[in-house]
Amino acid sequence: MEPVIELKNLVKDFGEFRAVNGLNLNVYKGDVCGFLGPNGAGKSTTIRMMLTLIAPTSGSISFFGKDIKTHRSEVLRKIGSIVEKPDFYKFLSAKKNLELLARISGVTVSKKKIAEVIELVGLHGKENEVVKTYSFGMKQRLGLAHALMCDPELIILDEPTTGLDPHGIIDFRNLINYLTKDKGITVFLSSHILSEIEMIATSMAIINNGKTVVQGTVGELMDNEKIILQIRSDNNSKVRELLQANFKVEADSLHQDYTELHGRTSDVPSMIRLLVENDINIYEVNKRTKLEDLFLQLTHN
Amino acid sequence: MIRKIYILLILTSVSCRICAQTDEAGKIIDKLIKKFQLVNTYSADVVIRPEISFLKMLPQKATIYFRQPDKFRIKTTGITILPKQQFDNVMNLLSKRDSYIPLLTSKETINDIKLSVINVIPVADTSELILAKIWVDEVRNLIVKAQLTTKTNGTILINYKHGALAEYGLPDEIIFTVDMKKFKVPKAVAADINTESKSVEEQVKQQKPGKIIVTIKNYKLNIDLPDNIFKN
Amino acid sequence: MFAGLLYSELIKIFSKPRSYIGFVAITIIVSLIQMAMYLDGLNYFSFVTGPLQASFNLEGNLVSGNMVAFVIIQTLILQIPLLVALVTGDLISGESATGTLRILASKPVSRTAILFAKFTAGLLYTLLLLIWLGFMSWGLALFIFGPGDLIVLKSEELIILQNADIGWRFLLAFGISFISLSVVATFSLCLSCFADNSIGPIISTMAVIILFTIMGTLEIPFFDAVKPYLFTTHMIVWRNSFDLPVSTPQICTSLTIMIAHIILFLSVALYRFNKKDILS
Repeated sequence: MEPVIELKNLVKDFGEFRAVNGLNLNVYKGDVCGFLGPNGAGKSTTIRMMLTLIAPTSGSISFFGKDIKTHRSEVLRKIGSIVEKPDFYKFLSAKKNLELLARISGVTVSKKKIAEVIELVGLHGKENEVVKTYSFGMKQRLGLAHALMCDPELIILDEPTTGLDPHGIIDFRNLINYLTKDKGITVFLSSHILSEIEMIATSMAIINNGKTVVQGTVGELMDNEKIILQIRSDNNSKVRELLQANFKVEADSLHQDYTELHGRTSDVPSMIRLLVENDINIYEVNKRTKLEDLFLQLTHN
Repeated sequence: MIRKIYILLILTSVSCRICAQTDEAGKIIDKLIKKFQLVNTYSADVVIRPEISFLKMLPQKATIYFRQPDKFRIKTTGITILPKQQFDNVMNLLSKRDSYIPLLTSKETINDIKLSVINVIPVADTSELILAKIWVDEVRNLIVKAQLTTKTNGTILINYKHGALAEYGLPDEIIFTVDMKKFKVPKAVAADINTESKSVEEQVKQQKPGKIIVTIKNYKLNIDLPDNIFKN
Repeated sequence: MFAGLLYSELIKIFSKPRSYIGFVAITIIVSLIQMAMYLDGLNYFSFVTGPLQASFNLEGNLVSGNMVAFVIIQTLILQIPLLVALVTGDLISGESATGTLRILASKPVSRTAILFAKFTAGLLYTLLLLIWLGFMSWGLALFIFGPGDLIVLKSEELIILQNADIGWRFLLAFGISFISLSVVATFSLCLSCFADNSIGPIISTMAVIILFTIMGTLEIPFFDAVKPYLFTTHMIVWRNSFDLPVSTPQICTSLTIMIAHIILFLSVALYRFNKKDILS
C-alpha cells in the first residue's frame, strides 16, 4: 500500500545546527499517526518542512505518492493543517477569514460548507465576531474548521488540543474519530499530551535528536507483555513479598492502600491464584500500559 | 565792466536759447497731446510676450481699456507681467503740462527717420520719475521711442511701432526693455533634478536687459465703456 | 486564481485601521493648507512674486486652484512615501508578526504568486492614495479657488503656465508620482521580506529615502557619481511636468531608472521570499 506521507532521509540544518537528521517516516491511509518527541526533537521543523514553510537541506517529502517539490499545489490542495497556534486575520470575522483563505487556496468553498465546518467545531453563533475577540480555544477550533473546510484527504495537526478545555478535548477526540472512521481522512498529529495520543492514535512515530527512534502501530509499540498492576488487598506488604519472590517483577512500590508493580501480562492469572492461595483478600486489580514510560525510555539521552 | 557785460550777454543768450528750446519742445508735445485727445475711449486685444532670461511663459492674451484722461485697465484670465510703467504712462505724463519742463536737446536719425529728442524734466522733487526722454517723429507726429528713469525701478526703454492707427497715435507694438541687474530669482522650495552651476557667461547673460513685447490688435475706438471695467 | 489572491490581499489591506492613516492624514493636512491659503494666500505667494513685483506689475489671479494644488503637492511629497511604506512595509512582515504567514505559505499557491498579489495590491493602494491626494489637493482647490495660471519657482528661473496648458501637466505629474511612489512601495515590500515585524521595514524605508535625498541635495563632488543612480534623485522628476517646454528626455530617463529600481527590488523580494524559512 502506498503511504500517504513518506519522508525519506530528511535533513534540515540551521547554520551549523542540525535540527532534523535523516528522518524517515511513513503514514498510511486511514491512520491516525501520533508524532511524538521531546522538546527540540525536530517535530515542528518536520511539520513545517512537510507544509513547505521550510525548505529541507536534503531528503524528500512525498504525499499520495507525489513529490512535494514537483507537485506542490496539487498535493497541498488535499491537505488541511494547523501549525502551532492558529493565527488568523484579527480584523476579520471567523466566517470572513475562512472565505478569504478558501479564495486564496483557489478552491471553491460554498457558504453552506463554511457553515457546516463552523458548526462541526462548535463555533456556531460566533462566526460573525472578529477574531480579535476570540479566546485561544476558540482560535484553535477555528483552526480546525480551516483545516477541514476544503475536504482534505490528510490533516496535519501540530499540538491541536493546546488551549482546549476538557469539553473541547473530548470534542476534538470525537471529531478525529469521526473524520478517520466515517470520512476516511488520514490524520498526522503531534502532541505532548501522551494520554490523548494513546486514546486516538492507531500508529506512532517517536523522534529524538531529529531522527526517528521508533515507528509502528500502537499495538506493536505498546508491548502488551509489559504491564503495570495496581493491587488493593488487606495485606499489601505480603502481596509485595509473595510476588517479588515468585515472579519477574521489574519494579514495585508500596502505597497506602495498594501495591503497584511492573510485571508481565502472561503472569497475571498466576499472580492472582498465588495470592488467593495465600489467603490474601483481593479487593481490586487495575492494569495499565504506559506510553509515558515508553516515551521516556526511548527518548532518554 | 566790459567783462560783466560779456557775462551778461552770454547768460542772456543761453537763457534765450533754453527758452527757445523749451518753446519748441512744448509745441511738439502740444501737437502730440492734441492727437492723443482725438480718441476718447478705446479697447484692444493684446498679446504680451516676455523675453526675460529667468522667466519662461507662453504669450499671454489680454484686453486693454482706456478712457480719457487717465483711466487704464488690463483684463486677463491668467497672469500677465508688465513693467511698472505700463502702456500709457508716457502720454499720461505728457498730458499734465504743468508737471514738467520739456527741453529739446538734439536731433537724431534712426532707421532713416529724423527724430527730435526731448527731455521731460519733472517739476516736483517728490515725483517717482527722475527724467523722461522721448524721440518724436515730427513729420508723422508720433513718439517712436521713450526712456523713463525712475527712482526705484531704474531705467526702462520703450519702443513704439505704429501701423494702421498711426493717425491717432495708437501703436501696433510696444517693446519694453527693462534693466534686470538688481533682480534675483527667489530660492526654490524644492531642489531641481540634475542642476549644474551656471557658467560665468550664462550668469552674465542672465543679467542682460529683459524685454516685454506687447502686440496690440483689434482696436475699437470711441466705444461706450461702463465705469465698472475700470474698477479693481 | 490571481484575481482571487489579489482580492484577498486588498481585503486584508483595507481591513486594517492603519491603512486609513494615509487618507486621514492627507485630508487633514490638505484641508488645513487650503484654509490657510484661503485666508492668507496672497501673503504666502508674495515670497515668490515679491521680487518680481518690485520691477513688474503682476496682473491676474495669483491664488488660483492650480497654484494652491502645486504648493500642497510640493509640500507633501516627502511625507507621502511614509504613508505608502506604512502599508506596503507591513505586507509580508506584518503577516509574519501575526503568524498568518504560516497559513498563507502552506496554501496550494506559489510564493511567487503570493508576492505578486501583494505587490499589485500595494500598488493599487498607492494609486488610491495618490488619487485621493489629487482629488483633495487639485480637485478641491479648483473648486474653492477657481482655475488660473500657475507660477512655478525653480532654482534658476520662474515659469508661468497658462490655465489651459495645466490640466495635462498635473495628470502627467501624478502619473510620474505614481511610478515614484511605486519605487517606495516595492522597496518597503522588499525590506518586509527580510523582517519579522513591520517597524523595521517602515523605518528603514524612510531612513533610506532621507539619506538618499540628503546625498542628492548636497552639492558635494563625492556624491556626484552616485546621484544619478539614487531613486530619490528621480522621484522629484514630476516637477519637470511643469517645465516650458516639458523636458521629455529627462522624464523618460528618470522613469526608466525608477522602473529599473522597481524590477530590482521586486527581484530581490522574490528571491528572498521564495528562499525564506518561515519560522514565525
